[in-house]
Amino acid sequence: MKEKPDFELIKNFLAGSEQAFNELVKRYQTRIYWHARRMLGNHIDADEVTQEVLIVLYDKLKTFKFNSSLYTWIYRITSTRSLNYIRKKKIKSLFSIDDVMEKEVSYERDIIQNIDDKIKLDKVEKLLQELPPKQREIFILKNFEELSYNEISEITGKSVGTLKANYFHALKKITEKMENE
Amino acid sequence: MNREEILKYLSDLLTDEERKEFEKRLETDAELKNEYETLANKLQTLKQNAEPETNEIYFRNLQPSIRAKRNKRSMWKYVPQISFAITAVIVIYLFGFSSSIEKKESSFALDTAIISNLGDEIGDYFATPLEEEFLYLYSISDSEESSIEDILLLNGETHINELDAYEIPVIDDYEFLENISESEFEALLAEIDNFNLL
Repeated sequence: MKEKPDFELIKNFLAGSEQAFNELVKRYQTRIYWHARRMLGNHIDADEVTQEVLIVLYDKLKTFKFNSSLYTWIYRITSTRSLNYIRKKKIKSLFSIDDVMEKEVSYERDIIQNIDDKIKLDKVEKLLQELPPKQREIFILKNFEELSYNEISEITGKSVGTLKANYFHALKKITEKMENE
Repeated sequence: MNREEILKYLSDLLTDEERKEFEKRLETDAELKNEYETLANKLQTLKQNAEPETNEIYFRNLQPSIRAKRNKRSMWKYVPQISFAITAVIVIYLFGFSSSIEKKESSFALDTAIISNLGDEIGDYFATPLEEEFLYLYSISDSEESSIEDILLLNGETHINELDAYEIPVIDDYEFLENISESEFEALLAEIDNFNLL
């Protein structure tokens, strides 16, 4: 059976179909989760942001203008929420000492079942966390989500030139770190 | 040097001319080609490692937990209204309660004033234990009461002493006074009279 396009599901949802919303969630939840996870570096924070984004999606879908595609809109929400979350966490960490404990809990509750996969992902997450959040965002969108600069520009609101420069610096840092490992 | 160029190429920072030149070199320069492929492979591995297999239960449970969270939030949405309503009820209750306290206080003040005034009057009356005992005589007729008062209210203590001295039944025996009949009381008065107490 052919998948219904996003705009049709949105229209159905706005007409009152919860099923249409569930369909949209199924379609995008993995992408939202992984973008948040790469931005934040652990499952617990990613889970929180993913849920936030899906709630925002539910509440704000009626304001969605069909000028852009739904996935760029969703990425924009996820990116903004993740960056805000990082900022909040940074402020919180200045007053908190239980960061180590949080990491342990996050590791226990992780949704990655295979231990080898978990170790590999851990390395990637550590590398990404070395990047400043804005560079990280661009690196993730370009390298993992394989979005074009124009799409990233639509998500981040930055010019393509700035994005290229940012990606170059991110790439340089990442490759240096990879070689030093 | 190669590294910088490779990164610029991957970031799409090269001009059209530079890019064409770089792609040409890639075909001819083995060292550059090797370095480029190593880097590209590393980035590819990084990408693969960043997409491991996940526990699908998490994603299946995501929707119900969002629904629960949303419902919880929609309940919290009414908190300002509910708290306003509760505050209003409390304020009204406190206002009503305080005014009722005021009412009670004012009524209490009035009662106290009345009691105090009465107390002044009664207090005089209760000046001595002997007089106190005469409250019990209120059940008797006004004329009898006044004659007893005439006899005893002059100087209570003295009368008691005198009554004791003459072994007249002591009228502090409330029960006795309560239970005596009118004729007995008459007799008592006569007896007092006989002792010429006045």
